[in-house]
Amino acid sequence: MRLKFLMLGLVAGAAVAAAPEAANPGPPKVLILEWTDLIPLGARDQQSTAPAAASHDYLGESGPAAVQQSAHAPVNTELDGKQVKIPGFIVPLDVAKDGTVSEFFLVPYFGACIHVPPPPPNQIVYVTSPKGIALDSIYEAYWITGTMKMQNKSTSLGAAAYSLSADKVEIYKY
Amino acid sequence: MPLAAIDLEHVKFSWPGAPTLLEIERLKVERGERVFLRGPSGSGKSTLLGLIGGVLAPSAGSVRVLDQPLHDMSAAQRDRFRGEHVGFVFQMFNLVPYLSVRENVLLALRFAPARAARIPHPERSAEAGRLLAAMGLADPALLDRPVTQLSIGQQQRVAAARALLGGPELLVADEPTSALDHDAREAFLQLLMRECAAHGTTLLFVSHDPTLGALFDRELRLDELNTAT
Amino acid sequence: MSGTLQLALRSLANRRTTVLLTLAAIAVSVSLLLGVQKLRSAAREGFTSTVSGVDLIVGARSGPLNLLLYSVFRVGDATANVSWDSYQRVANHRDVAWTIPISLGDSHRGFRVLGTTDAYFQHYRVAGGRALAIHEGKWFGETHDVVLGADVAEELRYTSGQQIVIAHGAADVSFTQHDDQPFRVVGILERTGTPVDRTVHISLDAIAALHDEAAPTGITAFMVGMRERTALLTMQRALNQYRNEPLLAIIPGVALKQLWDLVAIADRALMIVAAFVVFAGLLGMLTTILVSLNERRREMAILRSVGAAPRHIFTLMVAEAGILASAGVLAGIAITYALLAAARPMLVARFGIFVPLGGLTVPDGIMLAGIVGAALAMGLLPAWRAYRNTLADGLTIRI
Repeated sequence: MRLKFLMLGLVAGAAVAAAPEAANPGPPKVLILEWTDLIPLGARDQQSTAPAAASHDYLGESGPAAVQQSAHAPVNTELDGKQVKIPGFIVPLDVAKDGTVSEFFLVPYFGACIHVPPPPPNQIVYVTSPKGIALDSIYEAYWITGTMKMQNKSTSLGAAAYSLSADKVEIYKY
Repeated sequence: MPLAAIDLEHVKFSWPGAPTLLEIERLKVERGERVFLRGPSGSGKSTLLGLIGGVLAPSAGSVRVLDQPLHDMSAAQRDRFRGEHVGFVFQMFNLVPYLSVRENVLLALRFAPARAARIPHPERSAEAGRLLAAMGLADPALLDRPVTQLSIGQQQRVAAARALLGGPELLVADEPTSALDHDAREAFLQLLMRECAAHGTTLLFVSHDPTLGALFDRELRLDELNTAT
Repeated sequence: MSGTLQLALRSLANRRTTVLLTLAAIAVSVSLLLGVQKLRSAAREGFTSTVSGVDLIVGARSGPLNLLLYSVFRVGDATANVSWDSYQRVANHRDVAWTIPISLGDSHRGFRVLGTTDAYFQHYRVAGGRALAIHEGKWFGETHDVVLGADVAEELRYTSGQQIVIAHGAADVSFTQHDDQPFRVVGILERTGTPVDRTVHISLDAIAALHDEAAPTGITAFMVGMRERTALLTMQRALNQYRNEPLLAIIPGVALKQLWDLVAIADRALMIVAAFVVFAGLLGMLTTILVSLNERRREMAILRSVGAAPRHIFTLMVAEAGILASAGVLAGIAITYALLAAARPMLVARFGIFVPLGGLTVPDGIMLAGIVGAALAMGLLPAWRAYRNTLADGLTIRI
């Protein structure tokens, strides 16, 4: 008899302890991402995070421009709308008068715009930061925190599949 | 019973680790007295004036000025006391070169609020002028002249006016006439005495010139008073 | 304490010559520091405000900074041209929204002549997305129409309808003038604060005509706006790998950052030098005050005799240092503005840097306050010495 009451008490106690947890899930957690996370689970072994294959004859040097295959770099839809934190290199697009950058690409490796082929679309994030970030150096890596979104439009080759509205930018320390 | 203006008892002074410079068993000056102190160089004159002025604290004994125990006061309190109640005249270089005659006289009130309060603000400049005239410098054009343009005699008179401004109870004059010629000496002294008498100011006059002693109430010899020398 | 301040002022006024020299030293060093600071921010703003909204700039293969400099800043020269065929290929590409072709190489009385099309007026943006605007007249329509940048019109005092002659080559004076092909000013642009103001714009067809060609065969460079911004990396890659001729495509934001990094080293070095100069000026002030201490011992004794405490002496010395430094800083600010105002035209003409004469910024203010603070700190040394002296001297006036 006493054992029964003890069990009831334990269960009741556990329920009481758990209730606030259920009612208040706490602040949304920030997902810390690696670039492989941007590739959906199923496609990960087929695609590496390395640069995309050279787009064949994009400008049609040997005859008429090749018909573009719609780039099916698959996207990880689970990331849509999530708060994420992801490290990478910045390719600035718009530099304001005071030197801050409000629009940029985030890519997994340095030199994506200089001497190395660009990453595949699901390895490029197009980031906007309304108040602009002070970019000290394009040679450094940065942590970008913000809300991830899928690009709804059909992505042409070399486009970015993901976009992100940045809340916070920090230097990446090794 | 009038309080003593200056009262030193069993006073000793030495710098730390140095031999005693000054040792006086008893020195008393009454209020309103005019005392002539004969003190040649090396007799401890600077030390004595420093003690009376409150820039130095005795190593032993009591130093009372206007019945205030300077030996018990902090340095800041002694500085303040000096500003409020004592006027000084030195042998030379009494005046601040970058201030005018008027400003030099008014300097007496700059660090002594109670002394300044005795003269209402708008009347201060006039009072300075009155004292200068009393000391024989009646020309109003003189007031704004830079002090570097004055003769020694004139400078000493300005210094005297400053020492008297605001009616301090004690005036200490350290060889004020030594740089003046004979005639100027007498004249200066006459004017100074007259002003002190008019306000009941105690006068302690230090000099090595014995001919002036006759004008004073009492004559003291520092080399006899100071048992350290 | 205002009594002490007044004493300090009178004391300084008495030593006019020495004080003025010290003041001058501080003022000059402060103006150097402040001037460098202002030039820095003007240069940075000048760089970053020149162009916006352009996804790629394409030219013959040289170096990224070189391409940026001549295409946007009109400084320097291209080593080769881009063929018309290659340009058309890109201009007609389905992923491209617009292009602005430009052709440089001619000059008019010291100003660079730029050949371009309507696309320049439609799509070229300066910082903050500001489009070009007509101040007077209109954009060119006929082959020999000319549109002037604001500075060109102002300095050469040209008005609408004026006839001018274009020279070949980019030197100030050239002896191959195209006298037989007079041009007519049809429009003047609003001021942009960028190198656009110092450019003479004509049509590409006019450039071709100047070289006795029927149609353009090549251009110096072109700017690209993609339909989708996110596609520019692929286009850039394709252009850099283009097999038909050696081309270079740069992202303006990246190239600007690289340019700025290059400049930043010199810029930082300049700031350090300027800071040292200010320090030297303050040391001069310190010397002046220290040297005067000895002859002021009598003055201090006089002040002590009228009731001043050693701390009053201390404060007096610190106040003198503070007054000297503050006056020096204020004079320095005045000198900076005077010099900048005088040098502005030259800076715009030679380097394309437009220096706005705004007020002092918060960082400027902090820096200047810091200088006064440093001076006060340095003033502690003579103040301390004077303090010690007066304790030892008392009322004794040493002759």
